Amino acid sequence: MQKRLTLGFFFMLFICTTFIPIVWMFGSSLYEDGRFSLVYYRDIFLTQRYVRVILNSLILASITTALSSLAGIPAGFFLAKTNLPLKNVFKISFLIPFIIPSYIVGIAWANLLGRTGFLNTLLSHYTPLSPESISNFMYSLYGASFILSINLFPVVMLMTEYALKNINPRLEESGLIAGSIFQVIRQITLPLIAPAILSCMMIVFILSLSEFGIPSLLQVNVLTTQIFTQFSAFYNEKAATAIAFPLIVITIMLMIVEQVYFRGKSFEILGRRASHGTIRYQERWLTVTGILFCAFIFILCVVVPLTTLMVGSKTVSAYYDAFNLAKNGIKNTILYGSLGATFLTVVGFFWVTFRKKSNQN
Amino acid sequence: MRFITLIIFVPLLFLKICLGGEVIVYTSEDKVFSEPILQQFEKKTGIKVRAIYDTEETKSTGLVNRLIAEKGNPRADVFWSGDPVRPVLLEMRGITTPYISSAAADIPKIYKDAEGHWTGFSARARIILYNTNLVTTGEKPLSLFDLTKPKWRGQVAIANPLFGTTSIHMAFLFITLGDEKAKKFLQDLKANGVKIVSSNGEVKRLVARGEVMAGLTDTDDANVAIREGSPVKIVFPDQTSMGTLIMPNMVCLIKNGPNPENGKKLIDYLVSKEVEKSLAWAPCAQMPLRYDVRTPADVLTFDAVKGMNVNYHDVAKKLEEIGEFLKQWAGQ
Repeated sequence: MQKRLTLGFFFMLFICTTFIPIVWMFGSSLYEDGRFSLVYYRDIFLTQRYVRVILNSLILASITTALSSLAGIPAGFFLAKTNLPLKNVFKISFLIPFIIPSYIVGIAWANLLGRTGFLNTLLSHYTPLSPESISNFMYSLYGASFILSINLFPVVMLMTEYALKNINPRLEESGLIAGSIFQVIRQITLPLIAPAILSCMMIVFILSLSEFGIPSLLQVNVLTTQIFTQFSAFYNEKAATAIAFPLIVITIMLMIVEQVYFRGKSFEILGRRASHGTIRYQERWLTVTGILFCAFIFILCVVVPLTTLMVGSKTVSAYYDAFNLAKNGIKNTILYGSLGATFLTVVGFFWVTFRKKSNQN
Repeated sequence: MRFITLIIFVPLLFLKICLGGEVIVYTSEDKVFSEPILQQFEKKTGIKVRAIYDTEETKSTGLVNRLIAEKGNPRADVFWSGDPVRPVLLEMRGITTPYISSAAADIPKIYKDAEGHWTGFSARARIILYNTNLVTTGEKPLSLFDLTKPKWRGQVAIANPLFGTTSIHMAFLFITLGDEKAKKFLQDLKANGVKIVSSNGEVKRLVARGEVMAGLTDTDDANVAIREGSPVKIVFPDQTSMGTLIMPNMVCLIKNGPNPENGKKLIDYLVSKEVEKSLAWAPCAQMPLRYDVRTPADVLTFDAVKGMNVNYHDVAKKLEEIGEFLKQWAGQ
């Protein structure tokens, strides 16, 4: 009885803090002058301009997800499955672009690829590209996707590494007796971690869809910037809410597709760590490839933008000033971040327990 | 032990707040410039200031939205706006209440509402910032219209005109020039390859780095670039014709705010000579609206610049009218 009450309490907490405000917001956007009206929604689905905006959002999210996976899956693989030297240094450094706000990463790249930027000068000198075309790329949907993927690839990397480390090693051992590394990776390892990879790709897709900082900085026309325009320039909360509607529909559709895809399938992955640890491939060529790949990502995603930001800050005293200015902000970030994380963990834990219990019944 | 400490200290803290009281201020002025002023007020009066600041991302409109949303149950006492039009928008929506501060008696009438809904102090101006490595003094643009000439093709940056002071500048232009001429100016600017960026700070960054030769921005951003040692200079445009847009800070008292008396005291302080002097000597280098405030040599008083002469109520109305045109112009 007490267990049920606790679960019920947390379920209600979830409904009150997450569900009701969203329903309330959408509910009020359906009323205009005290009457039921679909005027804002009609604008979105029947206006060519908004269809273009929805498409832009989908393109941004798709390219970002593809690029993040191209960088994150191999990085996670090399960290988990090879004898890569300086493994922890690579891992911690790769988290830096994720920790730094995307807006700041965007400024660093805008400095690098802008008309007078270091990389722009280099590229326009050694390739047929003109400084103008490189700068235009930067301020486009594709430039925004490129920067966002630098910001979000650590999510894919972390989840891939975690999934690979939690595969039951006996399955791979059996495979290695009968076949080559490639066969084991293709036929055993990849299918086993496929759900984890698909889940994190979905997370990256949703995070890119809801990203505002980079599209705003680069003036890319997507759903989030449209929401902001309606809310902040026109003070039209109802129109802003209506434009958020496609974001919710796309997210729900993705979750349904994921549920349908995984239904009835069984996977040997997370949380079933075997006592024998993780299989690491000892091949030298694999380690060398890993070093080259991780060094490339390290230079591209960490060294280049960080150096640009440091050069831009000009003096050491700028850091002292920044710290002084941000003292309260740092305190608040730690306090509210910890509170938020605790709240999410507690509600998430009880939510999963609640779902399991209702499934059993 | 902890319990006893709590029993002693919580009532003391409560008593401290009750003695001096508190005041809640929302401000869209940059935190780096407004926080020291508010701390100074706190020190002088013993009134605790609870300040909510706007961020660069919400471009000075986040707090206005919040004040509109809180209309039925106001949480703020005072709104300190970095621009002169948002308080008028709030007045038009019945969110402000009149207060004529005696401390603002020597501020020119055009910067104060006759009924006392808002009062102006320290101003910024909309200027053309140019890069001195790319543009000589003889070549610098003297008018906004110069920026539509072929010489400046693809070499001018402007912040998104839907937000912040750029939107106000546009509304002023539409009133001063008339709709047709203002639309033509913007279309010519666009045909000339103007770069539309996210903020005035971004305009400053592009001009300072030499990515564009010139840009339209505010004096505070320009002064920060100058003090950082960037190769840039300021032009107050159209001094022989329509004039430059002068934008004072504005402060207003929120209707039915929780601490109206302390709100009035804060307004008295904000519109004082002391605050105008502090803002003139700060890195934002704002222009005092009084003649007798001592300023650094490179900070002009407002009378040294020919300003655009427009009624703020008209600007607030025009801002709503031209929103859709500006949205299309900006490609959004």
